[in-house]
This record gives sequence, structure tokens and C-alpha cells, in this order.
Amino acid sequence: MTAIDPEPEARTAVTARIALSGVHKRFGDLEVLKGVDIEVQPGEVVVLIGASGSGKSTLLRIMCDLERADRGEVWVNEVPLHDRKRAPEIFGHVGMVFQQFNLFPHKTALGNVTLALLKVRRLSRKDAEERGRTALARVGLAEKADSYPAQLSGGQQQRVAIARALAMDPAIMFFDEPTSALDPELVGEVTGVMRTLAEEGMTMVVVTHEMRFAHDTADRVVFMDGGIVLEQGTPEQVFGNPAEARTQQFLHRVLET
Amino acid sequence: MLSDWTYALQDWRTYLSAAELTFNLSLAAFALALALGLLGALARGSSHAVLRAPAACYVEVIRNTPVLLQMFVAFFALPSAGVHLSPVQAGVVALGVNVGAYLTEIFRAGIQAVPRGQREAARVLALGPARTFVHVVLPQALRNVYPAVVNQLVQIILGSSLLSAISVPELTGTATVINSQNLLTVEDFGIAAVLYLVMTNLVSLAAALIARLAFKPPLRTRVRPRTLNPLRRLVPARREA
Amino acid sequence: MNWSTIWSNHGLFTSGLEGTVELAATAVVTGTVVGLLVAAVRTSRVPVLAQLGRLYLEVFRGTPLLVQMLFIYFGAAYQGISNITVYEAALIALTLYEGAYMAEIFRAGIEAVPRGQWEASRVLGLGPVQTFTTVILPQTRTIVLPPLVGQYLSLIKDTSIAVVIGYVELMRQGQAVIDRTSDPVAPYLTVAALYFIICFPLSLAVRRMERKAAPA
Repeated sequence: MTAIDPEPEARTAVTARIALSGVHKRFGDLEVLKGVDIEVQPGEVVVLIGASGSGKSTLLRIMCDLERADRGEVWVNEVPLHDRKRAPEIFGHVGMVFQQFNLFPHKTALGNVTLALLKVRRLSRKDAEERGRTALARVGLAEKADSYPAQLSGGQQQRVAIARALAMDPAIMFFDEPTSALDPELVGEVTGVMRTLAEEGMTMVVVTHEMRFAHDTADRVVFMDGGIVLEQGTPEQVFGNPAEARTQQFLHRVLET
Repeated sequence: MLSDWTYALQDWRTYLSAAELTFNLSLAAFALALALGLLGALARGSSHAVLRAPAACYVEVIRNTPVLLQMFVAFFALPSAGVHLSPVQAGVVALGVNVGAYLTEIFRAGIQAVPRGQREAARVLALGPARTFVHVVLPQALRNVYPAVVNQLVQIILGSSLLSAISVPELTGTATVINSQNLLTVEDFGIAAVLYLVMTNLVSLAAALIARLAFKPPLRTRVRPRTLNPLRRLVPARREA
Repeated sequence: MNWSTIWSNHGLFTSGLEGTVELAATAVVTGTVVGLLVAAVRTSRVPVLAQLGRLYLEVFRGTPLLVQMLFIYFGAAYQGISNITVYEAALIALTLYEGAYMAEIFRAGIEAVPRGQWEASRVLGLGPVQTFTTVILPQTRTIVLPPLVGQYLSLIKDTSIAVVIGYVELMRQGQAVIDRTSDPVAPYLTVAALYFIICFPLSLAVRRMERKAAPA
């Protein structure tokens, strides 16, 4: 996999910071987030872990405006998402990789990657394809540019999804359980790409159950439980020496497998 | 027996031109139905109740009354409201309005069948609601509904037989007239039946061909609606209730 | 539009309704029986039977109901099976036509039952007919019921086609009222309303069944 970084200058020029304070969210009767404060610095790789229902996916989705917080302030890339008028500014500047890939099945890999470039950034077809191919090369799928998603394995599809997000040159990349829908032997090719991105300095927020990835690649691990941030720290701190009892319980259960 | 068939087949030109009329007015009704179906689906999915309610009424009234009644209304009742349609016009309008209601539901289901994650991905890519609909949702919805839509054209061709009741000189009416003259029921209606089978099979074949040319990647479902699949699948029954 | 004449002719409408209901109710039963038989034949292991089944379906789903009705009625009259009433002709046509669609509905339901059920029954010593009626058929219920009731709904509307061969049902009586009152609008609206009253609850029931069967 080549680690080509197309526009390093452009990214450092944009502030990559996330700041959430007092975020609450409920779905019907269920209160999923009960007052979350969290910050992410430029270039940081933050991994959210926790049991299902702990609110980590909801938190991630709030950060890219796929869900709206009921209360609290959400600042992403200096855009106040809690201000409904300004929230749409965030789109196109952050990337999201979904558990179910959400690739457009009626378009080729290259088509997927270039759609937004053509329609939103209004690049010429030549420029869009060039950037698209570069992005695909970055995830190691240059030769699959003309394949349709149905013709690709799960790991390849997810990598195309990553390329699609990268092509927009985002300041922050969000990953919502990117490997949970993959067969075990395909997980590595995706986490490998994510690791390369991290090494290149991308700001990333990742929700995952892959503890190995969290341990090896995260700058900070955030353990969520019952709708709040229960504990956070470096991987060594959280995995090696968890302070809270529930953190220990969770890690014990998860690392058993 | 064979001489009966040869006798009946003497009128082959009449049958063929009647079949031609059947086919042409079916296409016209289909075009009308497509337009109404698309508009209806958009109206039903709209956020404005002013659009949603009439569309829902349209669908419910049409689907819960017989198409023959709708044809009679178009031909016999509309003149009282000042709208005078020829038999063929009334037939096209009635068939178009009728199938338009079914297509409304088909298009609506096709649009809803596009997974929510598609819209979310498009949203994060900053495509915006209009572009998301045109470039992400609609192409997938069209692929979803293609077999069902082709099926409706087949239904129109078969349903045009009822237009004989409002004196449209289409295939069934022609066969009936010829039959009253030569009394060769098996042969006359047999010829008509064969012509219907030929027309509907040609439509299915053409649709399959178009699908292969137009849809990249290829449509995985079978275009010829010969089977009724359980609920959520894409190849529907020949008739919708 | 004169509504008082509608009420004064309500006897015609009621007799029309009776005709419709009688034909529909009978055809529902006969059609379902035919549908079950054809579905069983279609899924049979005997190639000749299966092919016959497919031919039947091709013909009866690929040609208009009206043509079938005219064929049966005039065919019987002109070819010597005289004394066939319009009711009988309409019933036969409806049975065969709707039965073809029901056959496909049943077939989908049958094919949805896992193969293992047949195998387990065979090992237990149940014959094919017994297996079909006591093991397979009950399991097809959720898949079959919504489209089947939907087909019944279509059947009720299709009884209107019998007006063309002169059967006395709702459409025909509507026309009779028009002949008497020379007002085409009110009678047709009444007929439409009557069909709607019968059909709409049924279509709601179908939708409810669909929702229960596929809660996704």
C-alpha cells in the first residue's frame, strides 16, 4: 500500500478540533447520552470503546451531524453543529466510514469516489478521476477502479468507502465500527489502511470493537458506559491499568475472546 | 377442424390491425400511468399534507373500485361534466389513471427500499437533498421497481380487452364481432389469445433486453415476472391487489 | 345529479350486490381449490404434470379474463354445450383465472418452507399428500395470506367483468338505473361507493397482514 499524501499543506491549514460539552441525547424514552464532554486535538486518533448501548455510535454520529444532540454544545472543525443554521457547513469537510459501507451499488469504485467531487466540488471529469484514482491507490485498490461494489469483497468495499471519504480531503475522519461487518480475515486490510492514515497525521475518531487496533494505533482510548465517558487515557493506561471497576469488567469480557 | 382455423384466419388482417390498436393505446396509457405514478409517489412522500392527502385518496379510490367501472365513468359519466372523450381517448385515460395508482405505490415502495445508509453517506459527502435524490436514490429506486413497472405494462395490454365494452375496436372487441359472424368461438378467441400472449411476451423480452443494456451493473432479478415471490422481493405478481 | 332516484332504485342496487357477492364468494372457494391443486401439481416431481401446470399458468395469466369468459360462454353456446348460464360461464372463467394467480401465491409459500420439512416427514413415514396437508401447508400461512387476500380483493373487482356477458351484478344494475333515470353520474358514483365499501376494509386488512408478516 502506497502512502501518498495528496495535499498535506491543505489539511494543516484547516483546524481539526472537536469539542463537545454537556451533550445529551435521547431516543423516545431511552436516554442514550447523559452529559458527555469530550475533546479531540488535531492529528489525534481517538478510539471510543464500550458495550452496545453505551452511546458511542450515537456520539460519533452527532459529531458528523447524522444525529442532533438534544442539549449541549457540539463544535466540530470550528462549526457549531448545535446551531442548526450553521450545521450544514460541516459536510464535505469530514469523512464518515459506515459499518455497512453504504457504497452506491449502481456506481463503480471510481464512480463512488468521484461522485461528490463532480457534483459538489464541481471538478472537471479529468481532475475528479485523477483525485479519485489517487485516493483508490492510497487504499491499495487502484486496479479495482472500474469494479462495482458487488464484485468486491467486504474488505475491498470498505476500503473503497474510505477512499471515497478521503477524496474529499477531510479534516477529520470518522469510523463507525468499520470492521464489524467484515469476515475476520478481511479485518486486517481495513485496519491497515486506517493505521497508515493515522501515521500520516489524520485526525480520527473511531468506534470499534477491535481492541488490537485501539491498543496499537490510538493516541487516546475513551471508554463509554451508560451514556457518559467513564474513563479515558492512553492505551497503556486504559488497557493496562484501568481505574474504574466497570472498565475492568468490560475489558475482561472483551479481551477474553 | 383445420378448415375451421383456415376459415377463421382469413380475417388475419383485421386481427392484426386490432392488435396494433391495442398495442398503441396500451403504450399511450402506459405513458400516462408513468407520469401519474411518479407524480403520485412524490406527492405521497411529500412533507406537505396538501399534497399527501389527495394522492392517497387517488390511490385508494382507484385501487378499490373495478377498472371497468372507471372506464364506464370516463366514457359515460364525464360528458355530464362537459368532458367528451372518444372511446379510445376514454380508454387511454381510464387505463392510464388506473395503472397510475398502482405505479404510485410501486414507485413509493421502490424509493423507500433504498437503504437509509445511502442517504446518510450522500449527506456526509455534502451532496444535498436534491442531488442525493437524483444521483443516489432515484437510480437505485428505478432498479428496484423495473420488473414491477414492466409488469404493469403487461397488465395494461391485458386490461385493454375491457375497452371492448365501451366500443373501442381493439382485439377482444374485434374477435367478438368476428365471432358473432362466423361462430367459430374456439378459433376466433384462440387467435386473440395467441396475439395477447405474443404481445405480452414480446414486451417482457424487450424489457429484459433493455435492462441488460441500460443497467450497469446488471439487474440481478429476473425481468420476466413469472413468479410471485414472498413479500419483500423485487419480482412481483402479475397482479397487484 | 339526482340522489332521490338512487334511493328509490335501491332495490336494483341490492340485487346487484347480491349477484356480485354470490359470484365472488363462490369463486373465492373454487379458485382457492384450483390454486392449491395447480400449485401442488406445479411443484410435483413428475415432469409431465409440472409442465402441464406451467402451461395452464402461462395461458390463464397471459390472456385477459374477458377473453376467457367470452370463450367459455360463447364457446359453450356455439359448440353444443348449450344451456350454460352466464353465471356458470363467469364462475368457471373466474375460477380458472384467479386460480392461476393463487397457484403462484401458493407455490411461493410452498417453496419457502425448508426442504428439511419434506425430508423429515418422509423419514417419519408420512406420504406425500399427508405431508403436504399436515406439515407443509400450515407453515405457508404467513407468506401466503397477505397476497392471497389481495387476490380475493382483485376477484371481487373482477366480478364486474361478467357484466359483459350479461350477468346480473352490481355494474349491470348500475347501468339499469342509468337507463331508468338517464343520469349517468349518480348511479356510477353509487356503484363505486358500494365497491369501495366492500374493498377498502379488505385492502386495509391486507396491509395489516403484510406488516405483521414482515416487520422489518
